[in-house]
Amino acid sequence: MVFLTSSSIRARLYRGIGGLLVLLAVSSGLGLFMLHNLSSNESTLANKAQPYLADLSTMGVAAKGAANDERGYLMTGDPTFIDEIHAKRDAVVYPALADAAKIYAASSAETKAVNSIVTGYKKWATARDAELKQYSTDHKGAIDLALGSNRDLRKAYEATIDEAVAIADTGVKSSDSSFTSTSASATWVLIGFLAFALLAGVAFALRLARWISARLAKLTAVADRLAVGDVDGLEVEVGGNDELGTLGASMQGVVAAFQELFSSAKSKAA
Amino acid sequence: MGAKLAAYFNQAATIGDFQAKMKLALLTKTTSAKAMEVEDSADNIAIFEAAMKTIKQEFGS
Repeated sequence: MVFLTSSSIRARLYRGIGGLLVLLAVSSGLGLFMLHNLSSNESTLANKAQPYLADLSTMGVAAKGAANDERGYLMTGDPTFIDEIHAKRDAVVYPALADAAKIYAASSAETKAVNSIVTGYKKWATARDAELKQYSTDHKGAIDLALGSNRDLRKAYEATIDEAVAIADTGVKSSDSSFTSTSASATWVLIGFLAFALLAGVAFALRLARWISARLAKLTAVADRLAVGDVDGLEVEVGGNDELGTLGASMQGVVAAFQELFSSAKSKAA
Repeated sequence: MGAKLAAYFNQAATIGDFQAKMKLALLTKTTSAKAMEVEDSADNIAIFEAAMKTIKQEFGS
């Protein structure tokens, strides 16, 4: 605590260097905090938005494939298409949607959008299966369904996919914007703090150097005159409560003693 | 002005001759000539008294 109020050179150095270290510590702390924010932002993108969009993409491609297989069956009557629908399309769509539904909170817009897709796709899949079953006995009726109400059901769930993607895109754009903004803020805050620390350090060093060297120059001049015995009218004009002030006071005593010595010697000689 | 302070130098000379005068100048940071010029203030007298105490101890008076 003494160093906070002392005017000694050592205390001034401690205060100056300590202050600079505090500034650097604060700027480093701010930098770390902002890096953490950036990392958190990136983590949201990497762990939520990207897997979510990947699941929607996987599901969308598989659903499109199911619709193509539906048409393939209606055009050819080849049962392989039905096997493909169940084994390769529905088997991909549902797990992808289940994965997507786990990524965000149940109450989130993203999860609600996924639930809408599931509901819509199930409706279409049920109607599609009935239509494909009808095809073996009623070709025309099945095709009418495929081009009519079942097509509407397909368009309805495809629209919910678009909505889910739009929600995710908004999140990604917001996250990206937040990343850019945080990154820019972090850069400017760090530049500001470091520039301030640099300026404060340079100002402190210059002021301390001037303050010490000017007084040391005075003390050196006194010592030079003492060294050659030129003590007439010699005064030590270095005050202060620091180490140099103490040295100046001690030198003043030596100067006075020399002056007394020279004065007495002159008196005796006369 | 400074008569009292200058008298301390005479007193020191009595106690320890020239060496004591130098010692007084060293301790008070003032020469006998300058002592004539400065004020006989309470502060200055206190400084000289303290210095004389040291001189008396050192020179055995």
